[in-house]
Amino acid sequence: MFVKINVSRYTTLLSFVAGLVITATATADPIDHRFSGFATLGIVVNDNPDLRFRRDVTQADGSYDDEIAWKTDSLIGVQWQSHWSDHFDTTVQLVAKERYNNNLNKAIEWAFVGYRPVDGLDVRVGRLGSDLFMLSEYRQVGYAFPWVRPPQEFYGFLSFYHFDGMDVNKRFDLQHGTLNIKLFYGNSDEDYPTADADTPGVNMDFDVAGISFKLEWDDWKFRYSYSHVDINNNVVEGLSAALTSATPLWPDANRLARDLSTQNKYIAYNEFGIGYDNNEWWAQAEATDLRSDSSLMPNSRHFYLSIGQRFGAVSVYGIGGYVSPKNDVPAIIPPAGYPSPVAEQLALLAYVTSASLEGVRLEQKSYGLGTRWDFASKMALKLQVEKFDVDVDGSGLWVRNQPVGADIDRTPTVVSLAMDVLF
Amino acid sequence: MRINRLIILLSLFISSLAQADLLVIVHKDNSLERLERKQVVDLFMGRVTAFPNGQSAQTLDLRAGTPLRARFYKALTGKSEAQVDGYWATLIFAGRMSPPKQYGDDQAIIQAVAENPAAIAYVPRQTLPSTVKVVMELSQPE
Repeated sequence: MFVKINVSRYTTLLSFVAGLVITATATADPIDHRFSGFATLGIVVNDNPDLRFRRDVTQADGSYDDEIAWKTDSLIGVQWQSHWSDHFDTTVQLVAKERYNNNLNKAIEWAFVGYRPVDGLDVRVGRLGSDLFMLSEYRQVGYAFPWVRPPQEFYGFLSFYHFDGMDVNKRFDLQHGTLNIKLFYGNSDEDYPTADADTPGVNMDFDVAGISFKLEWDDWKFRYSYSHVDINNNVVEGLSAALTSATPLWPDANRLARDLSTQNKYIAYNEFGIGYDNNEWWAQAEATDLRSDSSLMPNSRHFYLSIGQRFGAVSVYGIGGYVSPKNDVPAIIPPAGYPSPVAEQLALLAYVTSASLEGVRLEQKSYGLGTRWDFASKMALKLQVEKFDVDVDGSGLWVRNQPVGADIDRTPTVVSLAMDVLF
Repeated sequence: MRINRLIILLSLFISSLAQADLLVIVHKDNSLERLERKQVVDLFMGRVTAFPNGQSAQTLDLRAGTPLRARFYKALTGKSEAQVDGYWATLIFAGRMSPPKQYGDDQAIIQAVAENPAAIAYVPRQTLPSTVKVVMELSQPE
């Protein structure tokens, strides 16, 4: 059923792209094809025995207990760009990496037709990158950012990479700078493993709409974006149904089921970003506020700041980040006074509900140091060491070996080494 | 004798300075006469895809790792080649721009500009054929 939906979407997309390509070829301008790519080979070691480190919440596994994980950051991407005329171009990007429930449809990161009626106005239709945050459009291209990976507290939860839809970008030329305003709208679905090892994952289908403003001004970069995600399905259907059926015995269960459900709920992101780079010193910071009307979505604030200095081909940087929830840990108390088998069943239902709500909370901070060495043309080597401090009720970015709330060490040290190349 | 040697040294020094200068060139039929530094930066940093008069532009580049390429971007933007490649990677892999066509040496570039009315490229200071024209001169920093 799942696969069927994916395949049909994939074929529709490709036939649409093919149709536009044929239309575009009818023009007389010289046709030009470019092939390029990017790759990262990285290893990660995390000393914590109970929390598995992951780059983002679409990953189902990661390093723990001093094991080396090479699938966390390693990936290879290839891109085929075709210029059909001064007004039409097409782009297809494929990325091979470790994914949860991997398939070819997911490997197609972009597949779109671009239409540029005049310089400065771009309309794109097809599968597009999301533009939620500063690094969203190139978050898999390690060479393009200073760190081993986009900061985890910030990008670890921004877990969708692309959508099928359209965007429109308008550029405004200013005296010292450039302003780009982009509108985007589309649909996507993503498979998420749960943060508990050995629990099956879920699939979420959603529509996303947003607007971004990006200003480049001399050495400065500023951006603001607002994105609104409408969730089309309930990812905790089983739990919702169990709660609803328990309502005659537990009147509050109906409300819990309603709050928990993700069907027809929203997630809204308000994001600010700032960057400075005078070619010797650079700094970058981003803050976002995530709001949702589903109790299953971690209403939270995310922030990171990084400052670095370049010494020729070598640069060094410091980085710090945090994510903090806006809601308290929910207290789910099953009703008292029922006889033996029922009481246990209600207690179990309350436990599962509470674990689900606690399991998605994000509360942690980290600081780290790193260095990047551009040792050859289009090749960089990076080493990064980070210390995390994860709250007992906020480990949603990690895969847990122990049940939520277990008394474990929550101060992982993560060491990462990566080589990034462009080709 | 000593003065002669000094003059030779001095002229060598001056000519090496002159050789370090870079020229930004376009096709001879391009209606532009001059480009401002910001306009050249915007073109080579992939922010715009057209000349200020609206005519569509194609930047031509030297292959990565060519010393002249590093010198050009340093003189134009103050950025190292790695920074420029990193910046371009954000545009290319976001699907916003396709990478500039790359050439092995300046003679191949001059030939390509002569054949393409939309082209813009950089070459070291030299006597150029009449098929191309200079729209900006760039000096090395320091």
